[in-house]
This record gives sequence, structure tokens and C-alpha cells, in this order.
Amino acid sequence: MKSIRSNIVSALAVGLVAFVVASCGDFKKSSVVNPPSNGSVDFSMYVSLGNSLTAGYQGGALYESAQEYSYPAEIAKQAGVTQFEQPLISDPGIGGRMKILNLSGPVIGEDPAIGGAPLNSGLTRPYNNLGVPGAVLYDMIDTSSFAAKAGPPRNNPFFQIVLRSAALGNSPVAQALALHPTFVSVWIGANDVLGYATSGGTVGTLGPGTGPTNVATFTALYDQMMSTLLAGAPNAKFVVANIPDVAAVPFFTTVPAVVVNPATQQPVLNPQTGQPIPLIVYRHDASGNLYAGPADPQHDFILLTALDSLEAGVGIPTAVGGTGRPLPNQFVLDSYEIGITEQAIQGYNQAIGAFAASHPDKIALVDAYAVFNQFAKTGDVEQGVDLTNSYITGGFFGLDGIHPTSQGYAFVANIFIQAINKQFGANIPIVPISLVPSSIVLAPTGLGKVLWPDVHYSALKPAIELLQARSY
Amino acid sequence: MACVNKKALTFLAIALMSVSTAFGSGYQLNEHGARAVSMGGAFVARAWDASAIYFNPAGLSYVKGFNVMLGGTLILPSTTFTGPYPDNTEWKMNSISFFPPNAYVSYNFNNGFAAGIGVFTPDGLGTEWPQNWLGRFIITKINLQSFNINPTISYAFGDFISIGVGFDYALGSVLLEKYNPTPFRDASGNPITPFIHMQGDANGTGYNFGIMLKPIKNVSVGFSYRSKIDFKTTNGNATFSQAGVLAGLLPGGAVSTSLPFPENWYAGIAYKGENFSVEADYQHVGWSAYKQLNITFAHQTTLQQNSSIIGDYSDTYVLRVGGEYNLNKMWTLRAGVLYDKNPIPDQYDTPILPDADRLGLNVGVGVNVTNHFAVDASYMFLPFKQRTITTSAYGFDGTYNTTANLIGIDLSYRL
Repeated sequence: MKSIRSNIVSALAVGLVAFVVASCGDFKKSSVVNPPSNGSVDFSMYVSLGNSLTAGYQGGALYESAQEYSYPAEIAKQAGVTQFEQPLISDPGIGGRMKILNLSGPVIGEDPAIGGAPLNSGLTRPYNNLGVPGAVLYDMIDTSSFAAKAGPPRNNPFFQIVLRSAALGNSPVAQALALHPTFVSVWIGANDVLGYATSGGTVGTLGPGTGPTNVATFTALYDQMMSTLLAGAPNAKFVVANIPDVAAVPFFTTVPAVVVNPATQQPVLNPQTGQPIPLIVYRHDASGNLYAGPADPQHDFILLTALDSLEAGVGIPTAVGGTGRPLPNQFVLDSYEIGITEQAIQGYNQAIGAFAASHPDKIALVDAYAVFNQFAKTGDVEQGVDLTNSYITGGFFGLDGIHPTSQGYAFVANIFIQAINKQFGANIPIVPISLVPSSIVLAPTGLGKVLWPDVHYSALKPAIELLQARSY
Repeated sequence: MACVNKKALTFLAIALMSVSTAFGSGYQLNEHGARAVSMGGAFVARAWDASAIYFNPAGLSYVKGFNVMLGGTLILPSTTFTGPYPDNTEWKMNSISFFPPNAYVSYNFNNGFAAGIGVFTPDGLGTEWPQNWLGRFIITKINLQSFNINPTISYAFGDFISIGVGFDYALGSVLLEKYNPTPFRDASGNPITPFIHMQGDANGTGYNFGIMLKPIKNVSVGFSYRSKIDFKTTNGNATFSQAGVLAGLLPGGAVSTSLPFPENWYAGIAYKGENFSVEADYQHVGWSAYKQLNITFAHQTTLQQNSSIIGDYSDTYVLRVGGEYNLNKMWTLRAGVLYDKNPIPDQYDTPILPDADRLGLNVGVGVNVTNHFAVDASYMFLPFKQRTITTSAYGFDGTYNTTANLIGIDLSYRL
């Protein structure tokens, strides 16, 4: 009896020990998930080239508290770069920073065009962030006077602010190379098509025409720019990004091409057909002839700049209380013009992708086109923060409807970081978006139900004209 | 007797104030008596003390005389989150401890009938994270406090079979705090992140029953069932702070929610020798009852909208093995292990209730101080499997590590 009992107890004890030993492996904490590493990238001199997106421009202006969260600054921070100099401008910056004055509407206004001053202009070398708001591809290698670009026809003050003096290098690429970079990010080309698209197809990049930069020209310029960079910094690594689709951006997608009841935000229905009523607009037929007629609600984009005119009844048929006058061409990117826009973007991205693919050991590619399209479809959630491409409420795009918020830029930084990590065997930590402060300026004098956005053309004008300026 | 009653009342008062945390998977607690806990919680086939009211009411008929059992479990958890994945920044849950109590009174009428009442905490949850932490838009604090009052009767048909049944009244409260993201900053540059505090009393009812068989000499078989309880808030209230210029759109006010306490059944088999006994149990937990927790505001605005915390839990189980050895009339040594399978799918495993499969390693001791007075003590080391989430529905990917130490004590007085 005694031995049976002991056996049972022993068996139980052995069973317990065996179970515990077998299980313990899974329960041991392995503290390091993935150690941070810059892989084969040397970040000792990181330089970024690009336009307003690279500069950290937000809501129609360039200002310090936005520049702090530019995607190159975020990448630098995550990669452990301690000296990343930017052409900081004190808040509320230069350009006329947009802000919400009244949530009921919401009504959007802006700060003075010159509300801030450069803070870091005494730096005796080029800035690490050479992103110039309003720059097109050609500007990267253009050696003409920076000061001249501040005058007509471009009226763009940022070349002088960012590049300062030809003595530091007579083009953005020259200044980048003067720093002897070990790592360079390049995101350029969006303005080669955005000037056309944001003007409803009325202003072109290549004057005197009205089209986006010709794809063959773009390809040649892109190859020239990148070849110059590769030759000038033979040991550097690069990350380049392609151009997002305009259909992913709320400047184009917010205003429907049908009559909307401003009180309910619902389309007004034709009592006879039960269908929404298209706006009356100037648009092109399939052969490119301009005419006045009903918009194609499935395909035409009504631009954010149209809101003032719509409020005045322009574009709205007389039967539903409008003036019956067609919405001017500059406020409509119709399906014909979208075709031209898409063709340009596809062509540019072909050029960017081909160049990157031919230097896989040197260049990582960010497929911004694919990522932004996916984002437009599904949005994103980051540590409990929901981001979509909806105007204002989406949290990703700022008040000009084109440039991201600080959180949007952090998302951009992360897609760059992911491309770098993949291409160069690095493990640079991504930016935790929930720790990036929200940044749409809300300085309201009133509250109420959030209804139809009331964005005055005057507030959007500086941001838009910057994109529409012809460069050559 | 008077003395005992006073103690019981004091104890109830402690129970009312106590805070609880989930230390069974999900937000369930399985620690309801030091004797059972020290044997891995394998007790359904040998529920031979007053904690039978929880473990298996049928066992009450085999508990002789008048019994009072008072105790609780001190729970000391430690949880870290490392992320966002694949990053290495470690965030530590605020250090908090919990003491879910248990109290049982039983009386055996010596004619097969026995009756009793139990107070214990089968469900509870408490997590608290730093105010400025990575997941502040998901949770900064959640607290589910509850205790059940469980009057029970049992009847034994001789020595071979007994049955028991009870009524369960659960009452307590629910508290939830977090920050809400907005796209906005104010004129002076501070991000606008309204903080919500929701709190409400809650209650619910359920029932339980059990059966115990002794089919052959030295062997007993037990089965017990506890029904699901819908725990509903009665006077919930929400307040927003730090809303800045958005305060007008976030009036707060009455809010209601409800969450299920899952049904459980236990089946176990025990062998009793001359001075030892061993048992193996299977516990089924009906976690599929928790699909989502809906938070409903009485007054809604553009910003103040109803929300829900999706759980989409699956039914799960706990395996328990344990035994005790009577060293002599005074001392009893106990040990056990348990394996607790978590019910939460990866995408909904969040810092609200970070869960993972756990292993419980238990030891304990029982001391018969006098013929009338006994002390039982238990210690459990409860490591959780390291769990890495890469498919979070909240965009909250990362790695959770949790361990807990649980120290239990029960004082029993028998007449």
C-alpha cells in the first residue's frame, strides 16, 4: 500500500516537473525583439532634396513647429542623426498659415503671408533639408539666380530662404553635394504635375503650354539629376520616392461634382429621376474641346478652390437656386484632364522606378503612388489614431488639402524608413504616430455642428499659386 | 459566534472597496480559496471545504458542522509592452496590486442538507498605464470591480452522490479612462486630446450548480457549472476634460455599457489515499460570449459618438492538476500546476487587457492550528507566454510580457 502511494506521488511529481520543463521555453522572456540598426547606410551626413513635402510645409505655410516634423527630420531622428539642420522659420511662418476660425462651417482663414522670419540663416554650410516649397524637378539642377525666382513670374520666396547663396552651391543638387553626403533622400516631381492639376488644367509647368512636364523631358532631367548625385557622392546611399496619385488627395476629392444641400451635406436629388444633380461646369469632351455642361459626377474632380464660387451659386443650376453659370475651368479637373494628369504621373513614376531599379545596391525606392492609393482606400490606424484622406477630419492632410499634417508626415517618414530597412538591411525604428502631436490649427471663435467646409479661395491661393508657378 | 459575525461584516466592507484584476484569462479570476489555489485550482472533485460554494456546491454536503472561511489573494502583476513593432522601446504598466477577497459561511444540517453563502470575485480587471504613454488613445486606465454574492444549498444522497445549486448576484463598478485623438492643435500649439473618464455601478444575476459522485472507493468525480452573467451599468457617467475649444462638443453625461461574465464548467476526477489526494480538472470558459463592449452615450454630438471595444473572444479552457499530502495531523503540503489558454485573437489583444497563455506553478501549506481553526496559504507564480502582435486592429503592434505573483491566505473556523 505504502509503495503504491509513493509511486503515485512520485509519478505526479515527475509529471509536474516534465510539464513545467516542457512549457518553460515558451514562457521565457526574450527582451530584444529587433535591435535598431542602420544596416549598410551611413547616416553621418544625411541630405534631403525635394519640394514642399520635403520641407515640411503644412496648411499653406512653412513654419518651425511643422518643419520640426518634416519627414526628413523624422527619418534623421529615428536613425540617430544629431545634426540635421533645417531652414527653420518662426511660427506662423511664411506663406499664410491656414487655420480654422470657426468649426461651424468650418470657416478657414489664414495668418499673414509673412508671419515669421528665418531662424537658422546664419548657418555657414548648406542645410541638410534642402526641400524647397514649389520646386519642380528642373529646379534641382537649375543654376539660375535664387533671388530671381522670388520675383515674377514665380514669386516664390523659398529658393532664397532655403538655398540662400550660390556660394554654398548654385543649385539644390550642388548644395547637397557640397555637404559630401553619405545618404540622400530625393522626393521630387509632384509639382511637375500638380501645377497643372491644381489649376484645373489651366496652368502648365512648361510655359507657354498648359500641360504637365513632358514625360520624356522629365525622364531626361531625372536621369541627369540622379547621375549627377551618384557621380558626386560615389559612396552615398539613396532613397527616392515616386509621385502619388491626385485621386488620393483631398484637394481633389472633397467636393462632389453634384449639388449638395449645405445644411445636410447630402446630394440634392432631382425629383423626376431621383438622381443627384450634376454641377454645371466648363469641361472637355473626349477630343479635348472645352464646353459648358453638366459635370460627370463619376469622374470629374471639383477642386477645393471652387467652394467660394459654389457658395455664390456658380455651377449650380437655376432650378435648385443657383446662378446657372458654369463653374470656371480652373476649378474643375475633368476626366479629360485627369487622363493627362494620370499619364504624366505614370510616366514620371516609370522614370523614377527605372532609375532606382538600375542601381539596386545604391537606391531604395518608396512606392508612394501605391501606398497613397492604398491609404485612400482603407485609411490607417496607428496606436489608436485613425487616419484617412478625408479633408480636415481624416487627420492626415492639413487645411490646404494637399500637404500632410505632422502625423501624415510621420506616416511618410515611416514608408521611407521601411524602404530603407528593406533595401539596405537596416532596422531603423518607425515613428510612433500616437506620439506625434496633431497639428491642424484650431483657433476658433465659434463652435457648432461640423458642416460643409468653407474654405475661402483667398486662404488657399498662396499655396496653390506656389504649385502653379512656371519655372522654365 | 458574535465575534465571527462581526468579522464577516468587516470582511464584506473590505470586499466592497476592493479592486480586482484579471488573473484567469480574459477578465476572469479563478483564485477563490488558498487550499484550491495551491493545488493548481484542481478542486471540483474534492470541494471539501467551504469554498465548495464557488468550486462545486455539491461538495458542501461533505463539509461538516458550521464553517467560516475568510481570505483573499494578493496579486502582484508586472506587464511590459515593447513596441511599436518591430521597435524596442519598452513601456511598463503602472505597478499596482490587487486583493480580491473571498468569504464563505456554511452549515451542515447533518441530514444530507447543507447551506451556505459565499462572497468572491470571479471577474475583475485592472490595468493602468502612464498618462503620456504610446497607447494613451487606446487606454490609460480600466477597472472592472465586482463581487458575487452566492447563496447555495446542497443535498447528499448518502456517500455516493451529492448535488448543489446556488444563485449568483454580481455587483460592482466599471471605470474606463483614455485620451481621444483629434486632428487639431490650439492657437498656442498644444495638441487637443480630450481625456474621457467613464464610470458606473453595475450588476447582474446568474446561477450555478454542481454534482459530485464517488463511484468507487477512493475515487471522486465532480462537475460544476456557473452561468453567464450580463454585467450592466446602472448609472454610468462620462466626463471629458482637457478638451480645450472642443469642450462644447463633448458634454459627456449619461453613458451605459454591459459586458458578459462568461459561463464556466469544471469537470474533475480525484483519487484519495490514506493521507494524500490528487486531482485533475478541465475547466471550460465560455468566452465566446464576449464579442464587443458597446459604450452608448445618452446625448450625442458630432464628436461625442457611441463606440465599442471589440473582443471577438473564443471559448477556452484551463487544465489543472494538483494534490495534497498530509504530513501529520497539523501540516498539509500542497502543489499543483495549471495551463490557462487565452481567449483573445491577436488583432484584439490590446493594452486594455493584454492576454496570453499562462502557466501557473502553485505550492501551499495548510495548518490545523487547533481542532477549530486552520490556516491555508498558497503561492502561485504565473508567467504568461511572451506574445508578439503584428496584426493589431488598433495599429498597436508589439510584444507583451507579463508575470504575476499571487499570494493567498484563508483562515477557517469550524464548529
